[in-house]
Amino acid sequence: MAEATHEHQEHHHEIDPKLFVRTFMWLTLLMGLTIGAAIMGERIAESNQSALLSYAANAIALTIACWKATLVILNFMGVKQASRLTQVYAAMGFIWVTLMGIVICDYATRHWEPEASWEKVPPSPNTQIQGPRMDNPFAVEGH
Amino acid sequence: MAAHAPTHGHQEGQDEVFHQYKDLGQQNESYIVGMWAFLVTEVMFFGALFCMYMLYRWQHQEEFYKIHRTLSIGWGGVNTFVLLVSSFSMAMAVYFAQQKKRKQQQMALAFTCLCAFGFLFVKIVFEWTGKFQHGLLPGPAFTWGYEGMDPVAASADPSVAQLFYSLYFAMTGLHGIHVVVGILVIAALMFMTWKKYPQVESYIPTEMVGLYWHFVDLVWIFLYPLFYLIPQ
Repeated sequence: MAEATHEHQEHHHEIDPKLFVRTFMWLTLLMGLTIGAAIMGERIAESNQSALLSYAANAIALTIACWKATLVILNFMGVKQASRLTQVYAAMGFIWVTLMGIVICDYATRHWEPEASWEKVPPSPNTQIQGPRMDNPFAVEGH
Repeated sequence: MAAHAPTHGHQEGQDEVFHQYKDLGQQNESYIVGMWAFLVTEVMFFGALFCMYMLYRWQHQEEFYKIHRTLSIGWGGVNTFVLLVSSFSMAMAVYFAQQKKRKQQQMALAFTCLCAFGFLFVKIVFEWTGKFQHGLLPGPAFTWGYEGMDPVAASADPSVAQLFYSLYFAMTGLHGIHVVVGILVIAALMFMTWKKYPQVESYIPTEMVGLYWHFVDLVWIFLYPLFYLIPQ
């Protein structure tokens, strides 16, 4: 076993608080960008009815969310200055989610069997329901 | 942490090193890695729910768009900002703990708690209460359509609306429970720091609580755009 040591060792990486302030500013800015992009995307899509714009808006919103998450993980959670072992553990969960997301695409591309037990919700007398109604909310159109 | 006496020396003002660790660095690293191991399970927990949400949204993109218009982007944005501020104050609390500045640490932790209460207040009072009153809680009493409802949302399939709100309440409810647990843990940390418990003399307990709190913020960072900002 190592000899007992009485020297105070710096075993933590002290992060400059200015980094926290900068990170917070960036997070707030990105939050504003996300909301702005969503509202603008909605207005453009309403006028153009473009599926491409819808996908682009989705991609932008999720990209910004991932960017914010990365900032929180690296700076607020201190993973940037942490040991390699800590970084591996931090990455593991998100790698797993990514893999699960890829695997779940299998469900997305297959026909779903209708669930007989799902109860249909009657329309409320308060509003006139318009638009298409699905007999089975789990049925995939076109299959 | 172990309650037995360390074999390494412990001087006043220095953190204890327990016998199974080579040095303080290894001890601290093991605590942080242990906390991350727990957070990995939380990522799996929420990750599975997010994948489930993405699947149903994929299948009902148009309906989900219509239904999400009943959610308030404004209040969701306020909650996002509140959690970001709380994350910042939590990071500062960890910094003050490292500096052994107890008073500033306590103030930062108290502010984090305050933000957490603010988040829950907005969520319960301004978001959920209205939804309960409009019959949007999934179950036998679920009704789709109330006076003053967004006409585009009203045109959505009520069955898909119930599905949407099942996902909404499940995920935001679970997140809310995590916020409540975070409040309790931060309060316990504040109490133990106030009473000068030896277990919280080191900055590590504060850092571990901080990691949990930042994770709670992370979940909301994804929840908000996925539920509230669905594009057409």
